[in-house]
Amino acid sequence: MPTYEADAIVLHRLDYGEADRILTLLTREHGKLAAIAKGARKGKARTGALDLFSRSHMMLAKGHNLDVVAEVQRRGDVRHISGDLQRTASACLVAEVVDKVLEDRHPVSDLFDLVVVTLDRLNGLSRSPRAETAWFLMRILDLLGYQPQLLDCPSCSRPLPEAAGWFSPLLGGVLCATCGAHDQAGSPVSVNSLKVLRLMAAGDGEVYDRLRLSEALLHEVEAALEGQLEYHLDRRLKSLDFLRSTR
Amino acid sequence: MADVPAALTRVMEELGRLPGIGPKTAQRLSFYILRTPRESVDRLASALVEVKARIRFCDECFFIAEAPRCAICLSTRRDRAVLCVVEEPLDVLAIERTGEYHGLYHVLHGALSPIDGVGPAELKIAELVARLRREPVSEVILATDPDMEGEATAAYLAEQLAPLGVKTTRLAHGLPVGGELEYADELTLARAFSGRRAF
Ligand SMILES: [Zn+2]
Ligand SMILES: [Zn+2]
Repeated sequence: MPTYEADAIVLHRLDYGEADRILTLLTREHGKLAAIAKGARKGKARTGALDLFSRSHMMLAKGHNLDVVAEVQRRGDVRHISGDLQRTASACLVAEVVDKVLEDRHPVSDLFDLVVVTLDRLNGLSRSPRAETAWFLMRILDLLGYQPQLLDCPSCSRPLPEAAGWFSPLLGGVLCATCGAHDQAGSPVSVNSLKVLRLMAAGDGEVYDRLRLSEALLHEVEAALEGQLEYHLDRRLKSLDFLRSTR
Repeated sequence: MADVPAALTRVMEELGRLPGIGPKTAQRLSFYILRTPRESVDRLASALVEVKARIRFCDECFFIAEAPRCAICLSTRRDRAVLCVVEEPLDVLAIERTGEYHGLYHVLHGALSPIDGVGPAELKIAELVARLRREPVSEVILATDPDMEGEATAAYLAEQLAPLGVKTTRLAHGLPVGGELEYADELTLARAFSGRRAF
């Protein structure tokens, strides 16, 4: 059987047959793919590398239907995500979004890097998983070309004043107070939330990391980014429902 | 291509609904059944009907039972002050094989899995909390699988049980990470039990 190598992250696992698992992998070289890990549920030494969100160097063998995980060499760990409900749920959201937006075997290296960095940061205990997840959402919207409009009102096209507005997923951005008054779906955006959203959109990670985000502000930023993503994916994300219940 | 008769399609569809069985395996099994003598197929069919008619889940712990209460809950020889929480009924069987545990069980019927939309409401968690309010239990052993979903479930349970003032413990390390309890060998499992620590 011909084999190939991959830098792979486990996005999803499904029990299969006696003791096997079908894994959805995100790989740097080949994009998203499904592979079968034989005996993975039995808990041999290597299964830790096949747990959700684990990253490893894999050798895969071309199979009849599904390719087979032949060798695994673990890279790093996700032990601080494990056992932490909010971090686990955040990582689930990352995995679910990536699984939904990628087509099989279409590698997008920026996306792979984003997932690596996000899981790494979720595994770093000093960081707030909510702030990390919000940052991930802005980055993925950016990669997908759905970055929210934050400078001009998407309804009347006037430049947005430094003032509170209304986030409209339907129109894809922050509406000025006048236009926002007529919009039904969406969420409020305070002046400070607008500033934070703009900073995130500009990709200024260093400043973002230093910000102290209050609960109220984080809530507005999350509502805007999650609303935008769900609108464009045109579906509810299961992990998001769960994540909201942990906040 | 010739049409597959409806009766055969139905068998393939039904078998294909079973966990871990893909369309290919469902096809293979269906043709196996076609070639099998009538009596064996009748035995299989009646076994399926009978298990559904006679076996249920225990009202108390949700393990398999032939009555409202399972044999373990009804036994007078079990330590009723200790409760072991597991994901699946098969985990109970694996722990029973060790012969090391003498308390009662609570089967969640799954683990929290945000990606698959399995939240607390889909598991027997409210039933566990109600049970602990009702029964004088002094220790709850969280024996969910040592993988991402199992650890998340244990963390969630520990949070939910904290206000009840009951001591919660987790099985010791040594169980292979990412694996399932049901597949752990008896010695490893017995050691994990005796080495359990406060959560
Ligand atoms: Zn406007
Ligand atoms: Zn019972």
